Amino acid sequence: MSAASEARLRRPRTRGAFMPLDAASRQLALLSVANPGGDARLYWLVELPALTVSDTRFLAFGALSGHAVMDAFSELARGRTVADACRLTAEQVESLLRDDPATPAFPDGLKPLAFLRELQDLAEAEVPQLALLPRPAGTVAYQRKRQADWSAEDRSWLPLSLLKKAAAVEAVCARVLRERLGHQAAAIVDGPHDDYQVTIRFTGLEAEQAPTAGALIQDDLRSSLHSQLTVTVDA
Amino acid sequence: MSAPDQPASGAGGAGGFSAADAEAYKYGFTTAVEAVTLGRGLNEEVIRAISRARGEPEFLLRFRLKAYAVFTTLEEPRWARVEYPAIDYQAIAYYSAPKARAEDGRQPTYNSLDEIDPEILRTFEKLGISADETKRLNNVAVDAVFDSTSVFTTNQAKLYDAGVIFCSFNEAVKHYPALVERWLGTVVPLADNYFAALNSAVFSDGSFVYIPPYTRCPLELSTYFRINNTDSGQFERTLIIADVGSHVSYLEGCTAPKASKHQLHAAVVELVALDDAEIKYSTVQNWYAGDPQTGEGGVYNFVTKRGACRGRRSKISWTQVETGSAITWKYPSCILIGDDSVGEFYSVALTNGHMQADTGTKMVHIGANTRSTIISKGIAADVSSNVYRGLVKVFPKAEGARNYTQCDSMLVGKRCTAHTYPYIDVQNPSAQVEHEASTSKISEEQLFYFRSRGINAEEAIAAIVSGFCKDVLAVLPLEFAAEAHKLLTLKLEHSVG
Repeated sequence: MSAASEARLRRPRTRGAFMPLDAASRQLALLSVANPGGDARLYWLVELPALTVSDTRFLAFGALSGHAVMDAFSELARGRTVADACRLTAEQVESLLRDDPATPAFPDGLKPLAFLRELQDLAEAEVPQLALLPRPAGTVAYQRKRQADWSAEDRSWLPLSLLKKAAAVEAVCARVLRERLGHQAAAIVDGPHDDYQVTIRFTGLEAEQAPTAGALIQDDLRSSLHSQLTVTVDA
Repeated sequence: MSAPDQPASGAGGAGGFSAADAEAYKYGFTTAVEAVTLGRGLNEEVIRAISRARGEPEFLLRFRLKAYAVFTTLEEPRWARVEYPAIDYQAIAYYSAPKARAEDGRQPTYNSLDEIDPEILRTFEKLGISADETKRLNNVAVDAVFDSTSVFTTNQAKLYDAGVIFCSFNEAVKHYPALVERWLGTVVPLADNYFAALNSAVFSDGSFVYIPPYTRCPLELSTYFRINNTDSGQFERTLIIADVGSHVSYLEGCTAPKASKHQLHAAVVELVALDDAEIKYSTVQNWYAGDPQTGEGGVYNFVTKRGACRGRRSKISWTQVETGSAITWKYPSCILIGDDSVGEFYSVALTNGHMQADTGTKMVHIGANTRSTIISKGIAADVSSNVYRGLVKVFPKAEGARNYTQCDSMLVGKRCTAHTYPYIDVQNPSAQVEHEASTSKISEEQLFYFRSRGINAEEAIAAIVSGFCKDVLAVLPLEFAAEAHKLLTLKLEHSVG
């Protein structure tokens, strides 16, 4: 197995599953099929009526090579139409797993990719049944981004404990108030909730200055801690 | 099943239980839920009906029918040192599932919990198992099985992100049929023994786990089995597959309501560990043990648990705390096929009242340099009987195999019994097998020593037992260890002679 395949086997980027709730809340159709040979199940979120594969995940449970193959296939399928994704060839998928263009990814050639055809045929056959699910009742609770999708800033922010996150936010608040407003105002920080939501109540500050102070703090939080942090000023 | 002929009275060697009975088994309540139950009796049509009710594929029906055909040719094993009246297998209902709530045209929430009878959710809340993921410990995913069906599984999304499949057996059959077909019955064949054949024919739900290669399962996995319908038996099936280089810790708990009739629990657990994989399987078994004074009621716990270390350097570790069941017949085993594979068995079996336990393990060394450890602690109180039965078998090709067995029994009171049946079969001269055994009794002298320091007899027994079991409790996951310790103490209350 090539080093690229080995890397995908050990750290797959698109592994996981979509549930009906994921599809319903994103207003996409869920296409999920498993090949009868027992190698893998693919999960595609499909945009209707264009039939574009908006997001892909997979669970593999066959040969070791199958995990790498599915990861590469899922990545290639993303953004294509279902028909295009189902026309992807084993050669195209395998080329993504080669270390160098001249050396095959697997010693036995394309054999480990044979099951893809089965999956593609099953996926294509599912298309007529694809339908949007009704929007879910109630609000969907915050779900933290899956670890496989974390960016560099996520990796430095999300694993912090709530206490550490709160301390970091408070430090930024204190610094901004001191440096930008330069007087005795203080900020009482609530949160962050759901990883990114910060509510701030100011003391020692005129009411009309509070939104500006909030915006200054948000800018600083976004540049120094995480770009998705959002400040709400509690009047 | 009818109640067994037990002595009309029989307070154990030590003191009455009646006052403490309710306290000792707080899980003995029943939940009133609407259930779909198949009529009593066992025949081919019942098996087809179970398969139909669960919407199973053809291969599974064939598996069941083959198992039933084998079951009809087998005889119930009677070699264990347990006594019970003949079980009438035609008087048991083999399938009971709570009714799903009817659709009422509401907007969907895609939350399977909305389809569950709230009474069942409340039952699990009472048992300390919350379906609400926000209320649970973050590091445990739970599959809750109620009678013959799995009612909910928590934290699945987080597990899927890691590629881990943890779901009810039924869900696995629907979504990953080829995976189930590939591994089902490969560790415990359908003709393995009488109760395994029965389970293979009629098994209902259970848990299915697949850990992908090079993955450490991000959460502890846990299944909680609850028998509610006192007319039905429970026949769950658990299958865990740890792929190359993976690791998983799985916890199992169980309770049943108090009933004057005996209930049959015949489960099968199969574990498969491939190269460099590790499975840690822990159980705290607390089925209803029957009336401690009369022996009336209680669960007959006939379980086949086996793990196959198929891969090189793979490891399977069984840890069990057995504190319930009227009768326990259970030998969690390891088949050490891969070279350098490791099997471990840590067990505390406590019997009191009229309980009978014939339990132990089997370590079968097939690969070279395989190692196994058996630490078994048996505690018997009142008029109970506690048997350790263990097999260590070293095949001719198991060059350099090594086994260490420590088997200790403790007697509390004057009328209980403890027996040890070690079987050792070594066919390779390079193997090293050690067996240590001890039998002790909590003596007046020990109790006097505690009392003279102001510690009452019950606290003294709890301390002695805790020390006796520390090797096993130390390897249990933290939450289970605390629960097991409390359970052992509670069970031995009022046992002081």
